[in-house]
Amino acid sequence: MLVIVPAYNEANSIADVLIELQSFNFNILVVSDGSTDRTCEIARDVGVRVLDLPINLGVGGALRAGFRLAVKEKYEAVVQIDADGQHPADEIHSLIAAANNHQAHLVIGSRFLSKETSMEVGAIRRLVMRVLAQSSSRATGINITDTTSGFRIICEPLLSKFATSFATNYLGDTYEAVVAAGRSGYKVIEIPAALRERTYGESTASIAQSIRFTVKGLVVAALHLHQRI
Amino acid sequence: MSQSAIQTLIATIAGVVMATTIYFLACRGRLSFRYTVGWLVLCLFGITAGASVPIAQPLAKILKVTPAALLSIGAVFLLLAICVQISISISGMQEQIRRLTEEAAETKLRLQEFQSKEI
Repeated sequence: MLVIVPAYNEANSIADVLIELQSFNFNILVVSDGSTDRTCEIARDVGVRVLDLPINLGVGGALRAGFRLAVKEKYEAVVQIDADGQHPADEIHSLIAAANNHQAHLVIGSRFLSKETSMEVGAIRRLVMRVLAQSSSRATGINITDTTSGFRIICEPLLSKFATSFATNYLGDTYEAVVAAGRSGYKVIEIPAALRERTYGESTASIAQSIRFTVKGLVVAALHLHQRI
Repeated sequence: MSQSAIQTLIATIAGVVMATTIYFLACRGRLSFRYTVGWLVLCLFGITAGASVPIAQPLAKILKVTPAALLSIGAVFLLLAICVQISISISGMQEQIRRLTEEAAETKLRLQEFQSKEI
């Protein structure tokens, strides 16, 4: 199992995240999405492999690059975790256990199912998330509460599919990926996963962007325009 | 000067200006041969559009529209088709850039690992 950490200019937080992951002896890969700060250097200094994309491809693009490498190196599963310190590394074992116990291809760590989540979500963002959650619940046939969570495990054979066909736009890597997996018959489940406030920086998407991409995502789902897997 | 003569003159001037612009863009390497030929052919259509009004008349009569409207509709859909073709090309190129970026990053990683083993 490989832990993929997509990172774009996360020099302030990446070291703490990687050191926490290393304490659990995970195989780690940082995918730097065209970072212009010291993200790559810091990650290499703590002894982690870095896939350094020369240009910014977006989170989905960074993840796809990581998935491709994971598949080439014969990993059977990949955990994706944000580089901003939101996801506690000790929750990864819960993802792995859930994937094994339920024979699931995609396990999402939901911040809304966990009572320990400490982060606050604004009213509009929460509404947007609810709309997306309802849409992805219909696609997967199970109740999804946190379709935009960036904390998940992806197992074979879905991993190989994502390595070649993975939406790289905003929400494509989260919402559209869940919809595509669900509609293609892969088993998607959700488990509680406590999320912390970001250690540094802010979310990359503004409210206006969130709404725009939500509308786009819903149109994609309604017209079945998502990546075929 | 009659109305149709003015139409022909305007279309010809616009077409020649566009064709000249495209020619210079091609000379400076800003347009590939494929797109240069495509746009020059379209300019030719534009130049002859004014004169094409009488030719379009029989079909316009059958469809019960004016010849100018028929030519405009034809031009709009031709341009739309070209835009779609260009969008397809751009989408394909975006995917190629993505693949190339992934490959470059992977090669860099492998090289660094190889070099660190050598040391």
